[in-house]
Amino acid sequence: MTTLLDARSVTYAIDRIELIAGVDFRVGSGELVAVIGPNGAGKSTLFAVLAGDLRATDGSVVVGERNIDELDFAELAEFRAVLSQRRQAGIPFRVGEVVAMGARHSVDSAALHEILEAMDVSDLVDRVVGTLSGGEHTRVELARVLMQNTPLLLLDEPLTALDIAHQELVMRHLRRRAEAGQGFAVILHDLNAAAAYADRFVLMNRGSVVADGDGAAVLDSGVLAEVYRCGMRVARVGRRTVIVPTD
Amino acid sequence: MTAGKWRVRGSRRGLVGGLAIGVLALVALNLGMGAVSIAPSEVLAVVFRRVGLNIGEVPSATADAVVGTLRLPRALLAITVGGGLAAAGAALQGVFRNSLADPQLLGIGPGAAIGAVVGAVTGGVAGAIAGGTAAGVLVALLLRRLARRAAAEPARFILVGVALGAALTAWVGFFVFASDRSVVPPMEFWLLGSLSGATWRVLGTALVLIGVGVAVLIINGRSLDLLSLGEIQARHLGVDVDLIVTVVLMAVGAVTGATVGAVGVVGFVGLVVPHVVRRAAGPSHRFLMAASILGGAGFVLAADLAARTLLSPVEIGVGLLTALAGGPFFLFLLRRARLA
Repeated sequence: MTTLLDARSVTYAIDRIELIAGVDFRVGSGELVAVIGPNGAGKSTLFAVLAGDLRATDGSVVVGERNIDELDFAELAEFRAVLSQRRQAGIPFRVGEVVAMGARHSVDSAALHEILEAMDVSDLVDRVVGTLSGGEHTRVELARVLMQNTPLLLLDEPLTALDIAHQELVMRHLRRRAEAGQGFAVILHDLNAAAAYADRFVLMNRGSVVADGDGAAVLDSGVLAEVYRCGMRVARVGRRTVIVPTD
Repeated sequence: MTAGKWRVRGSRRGLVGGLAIGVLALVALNLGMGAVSIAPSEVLAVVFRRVGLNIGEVPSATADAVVGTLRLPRALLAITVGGGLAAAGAALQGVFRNSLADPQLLGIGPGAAIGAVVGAVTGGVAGAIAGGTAAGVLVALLLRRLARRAAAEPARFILVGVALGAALTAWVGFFVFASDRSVVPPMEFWLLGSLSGATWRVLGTALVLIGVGVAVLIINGRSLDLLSLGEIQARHLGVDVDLIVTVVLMAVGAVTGATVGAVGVVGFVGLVVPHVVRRAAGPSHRFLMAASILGGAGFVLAADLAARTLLSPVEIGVGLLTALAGGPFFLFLLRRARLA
């Protein structure tokens, strides 16, 4: 496994208020890392720093083998793709056109069709993006991000507005791609989806990493209960780990 | 807006072909019609001789003077100005991801007119075009600063631009009244636009500036497509957003400013034409801007023909006619934007 992303002691502060502080975060090739934690834990801020949208106030981010500050936008786009939470649909492009925009150079139509199929948006190719439902739009954006075909992918809530069947479809596809060698860091609010598909879990709270490890280490009812401030029960159902809140 | 409306996007080749034929037909009408009517065969003879071909009858001196020195440069200037404004409008809408953006409406035109008036005082027509270009670039960059705050709300951004335009229009008046009337064209010219000053020299100067600006816009077409996904998304796809937006806005300002220096403010071309083309052929910017050049050329040719002939021998401001057509269209778009 080669290291794709290595962030050390990353701090990001606005007006001396630290949104994240001293965060260590790694992603290797073939790895699917779930970033979990309550609202306001600093997950999206961490991703903005890792994506190069924000510049860390302190600490270092190494992408591939170079410091992120040395890379320009085009070089970064060759190496990592990003799914953001913010969506835009002002100009009436069609789904097929939007997904093709993900290709950095020429559009490989076989790859395009495969990805449209994998995200179950083949039937939507002629639709104008503004007419899509929330879940459809999420899958279209995901397809565009996958089209970028980079070694590293940072996905901020890829399951937003997806029904349960499409959640499974997306997570299975990401899992398959990870096994083929791409590295994923994925912010997930659905702990069950995370438990079923991630190799490693990074639990954040109040701007810091509370736990980083495999399911046995992080998906612990005591740890989760303390971070989420809500009773948690971790159980096995068949081959899956299931996390449910308790009263 | 339903998906069905967009499903059939007319063939692009058909659209370009149709627009090109329309522009040629309008050029023919513009050359033949007017206070003096000139037969098509004689018009053709003059045009052939101007490009160095000795085909057909020898045109009369009147025909040669009217077509060769008045109407031909005027028609070509209409094409240059119309094409430039339409391409600039398409780019401006792409940069701000706001389909209500128009270079004149948002104040670039009136701002450029101030520069053109100042330029005219010192350098005549060439000075007016140069001054208009410089001022257009400055106002476009000012708009970028204002848009940073208001971009989240499209309607508010348009209001900011309209307010800027109104303030700058007042300053155009101030500068015109403060200048020597014998060298600076009257208020009417700047605010209503007119192609009556068209000469080969004006055409040449405007064509170079507008041509370079439009080329810059078309080169950045793919980046404008990516920008439509959102600034953050475009950045993630490798676009240096700040650089591209600055370059595109400077080109939009230069193109708009050069047209204002040459013919005054001709409004709504940059709003109406990209809209119609986008409906027919989709929003991909390279094609949109290229096809809008033809559409804008046709629009201004038609408006100028009407300007010269409707109340002949009195000439109407060409911008007044584009506004007569474009104003209601803008209201229609505003209404639709509110419903959506």
